[in-house]
Amino acid sequence: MKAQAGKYGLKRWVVAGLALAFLCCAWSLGLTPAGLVPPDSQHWDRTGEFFRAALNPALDYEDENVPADAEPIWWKGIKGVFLTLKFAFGAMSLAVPTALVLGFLGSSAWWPEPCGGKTRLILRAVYFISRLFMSLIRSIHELIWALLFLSAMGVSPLAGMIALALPFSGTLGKVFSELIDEEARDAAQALKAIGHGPVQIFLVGILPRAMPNLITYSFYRFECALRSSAVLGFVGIETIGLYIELSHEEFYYREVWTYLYLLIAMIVVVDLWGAGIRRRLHTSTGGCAI
Amino acid sequence: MVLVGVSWAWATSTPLLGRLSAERRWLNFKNFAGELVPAPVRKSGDWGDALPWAWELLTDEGFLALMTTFGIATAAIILSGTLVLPLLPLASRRLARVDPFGLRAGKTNRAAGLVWKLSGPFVRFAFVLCRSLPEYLIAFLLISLLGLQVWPLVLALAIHNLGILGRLWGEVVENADDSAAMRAYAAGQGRVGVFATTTLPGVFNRFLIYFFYRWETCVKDATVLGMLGLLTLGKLIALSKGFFWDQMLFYVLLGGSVIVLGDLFSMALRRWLR
Amino acid sequence: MSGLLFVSLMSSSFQIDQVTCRFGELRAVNNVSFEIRKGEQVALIGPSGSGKTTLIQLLNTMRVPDEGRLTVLQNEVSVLTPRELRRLRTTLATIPQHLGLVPNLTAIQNVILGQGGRRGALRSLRDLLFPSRADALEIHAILDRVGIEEKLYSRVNRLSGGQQQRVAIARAIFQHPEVLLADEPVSSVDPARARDTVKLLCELSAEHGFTLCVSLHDLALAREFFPRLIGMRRGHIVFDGAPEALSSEDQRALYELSNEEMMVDA
Repeated sequence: MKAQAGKYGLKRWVVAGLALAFLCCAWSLGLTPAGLVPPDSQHWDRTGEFFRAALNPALDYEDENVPADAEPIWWKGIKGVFLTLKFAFGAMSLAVPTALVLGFLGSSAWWPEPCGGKTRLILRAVYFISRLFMSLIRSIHELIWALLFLSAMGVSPLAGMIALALPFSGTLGKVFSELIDEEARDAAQALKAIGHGPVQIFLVGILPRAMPNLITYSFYRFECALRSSAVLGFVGIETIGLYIELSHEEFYYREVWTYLYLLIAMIVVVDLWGAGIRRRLHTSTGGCAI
Repeated sequence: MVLVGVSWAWATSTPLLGRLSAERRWLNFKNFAGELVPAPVRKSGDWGDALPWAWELLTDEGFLALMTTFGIATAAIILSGTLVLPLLPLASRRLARVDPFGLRAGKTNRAAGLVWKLSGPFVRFAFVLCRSLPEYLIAFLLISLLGLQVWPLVLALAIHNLGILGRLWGEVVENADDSAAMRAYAAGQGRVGVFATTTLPGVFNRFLIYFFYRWETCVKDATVLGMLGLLTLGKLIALSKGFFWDQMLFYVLLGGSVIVLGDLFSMALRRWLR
Repeated sequence: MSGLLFVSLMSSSFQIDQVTCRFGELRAVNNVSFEIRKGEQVALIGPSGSGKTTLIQLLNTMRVPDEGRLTVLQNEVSVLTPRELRRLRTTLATIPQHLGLVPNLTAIQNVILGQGGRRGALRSLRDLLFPSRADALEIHAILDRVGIEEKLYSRVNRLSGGQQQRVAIARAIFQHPEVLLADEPVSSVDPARARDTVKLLCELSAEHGFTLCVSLHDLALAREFFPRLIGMRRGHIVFDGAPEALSSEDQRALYELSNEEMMVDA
């Protein structure tokens, strides 16, 4: 029998390799099944209480010291949801235009052709610098950006929005540049042939073609921004995450669940909205989720 | 609708810059920027002193934290991939129905029909629920229940990515070519068998592409999950915040460079798989 | 259980009794009756749209008749439970028109899936990753018989159309079927190869003793190799018999467009 070398396909090695990797990680981190249950009776009680609270979310504050004329908890929760939404919107409204510019600079489909040595060199430089820049801002997590910005600027809405917007414009810009390069190169080629300028090509030929996928991907990132914006609460920015953390600190599990349910509801609604948009545009996140 | 949202977001965010005065902010910023310079350099003014300082930070705890971060991310993504796979045939719009692919399954009773009718929406909704909670939040809650150990972080990442992989892989499955699967079904395989032996091998490479994309994201997320108190880079960053800004910057850059490396690795891998 | 009797003792593979199959208003198969006996080799002929594919789907139990009775290997299809139906299907091998191979698996992996129905999900998965020596030897012999033994470990999407067809045939043989059904197996290959393929199918049927039922649009091929032809036109059977009995009148009834159809086509 010939071709023995190709006999053991890639798949077998990948499966074996992943199983091995998991065992290595589990061993080095000390992951044992015993760790999957609460360690002592105090934690057991807490777990029980926590999940009982899930069935019985708070409709009123658990804290007796809240003044009687304070806003009701559901109103506070909804306010938290809207604050979360607000940060996500603000961040995305910064990130999408930035990403469009970065994506334009970091793609090569619009380059004029033929172009001389010097122009080409400059274009190359711009291409690599923008790619490097995107990769830099993307590689630092939004929470860490938030820590940096809060330290530098003090607690302010703008700091939170910029902290979210930076890594998001990095990711968006990278995907935009890839979409532009992969999806629309032929359209750009055709326009180049009839003598359009680079910016014209981008606006007329490339952008409309890549638009459905750009929108779908931006929306997907918006969903991510919502989650991240909720997490920003944990570093002190007023979103629903902050309320969750504060209630949790006092062991008001029922309040925690009220906020959790509201957060989940919001994200599910946005998720379904996104699914509707994808259906209308006939795109899938699959095409461009990387 | 988007425009309304955006203008609302900006209009209601006053004061945009918080409540500190501009002067005070500038002072803050100057202090902050000054302390980002490594401590030995601040003293001697010679950037050559930064190297041994960085090396010490790296060997002291940085390397260990790096490995933990990697380990948590890898364990979590493999765990969630393994959990998603058996759920996919139950979530698929074409397999999870009384008549898979619209082909005759045999004489079924009404209960079975109902089960298959509900299975797809149910599993897909479970995916939505899993991905609706941010991993940081899940980890935060789990740590209070399971105690401060590695499992909560792994579980949190695994649960969140279960939802994400469920959606990404699910879309791949919906768009996959069905002819081999239908042939296998016609030869008497059940739904699970059809999925495992024809659909899955057919989309294997695309699954891997998403898998590594999520792994990369997991590494990034595992970094900050450490801020909850476990020895990953996030913890080091959180600890040095406010006192040793220079160290914090070092850890941030260390984490960033790891992610850039992971990025390059998975980019090469994807190109190879395509 | 409605009695999955030991099939090889019985003499009939298919009994079709006044079967009608509808798609909305359209009767794709209209009041059709015939019997195919075990070991017979039958060609379904007729122009495209005549109902051949629907008939194949009825025979391989992917559909049940809307009216009439369909018995496959002594089992009345419409009353079988899912489990019984799956048992029955393991004995029916189908080669679909587009072959239904998994393109990024090797030939041996595709062929081994022929036994997937009998072996269940876990065992098949194991077969894919670690094929047993006995299976590998048997598959090698089958591929040798169909003429592509050197492609045992080649990925299917690197094979030519003709070679892929051989892999699909090998997979059907490895299934050890009672019946082999093929839907337009030669529609996408050149005439010389088409002749080889049909010949191979008939020879294999004789060697292994399975019933062969092939839908063909090429009348000459059908006449050359098959002892029995069933001609279909707009859901009806217009001819059923030996090729020698096929008169030119029958052919006209099968293939010639009526005035009314010409109008539609124009």
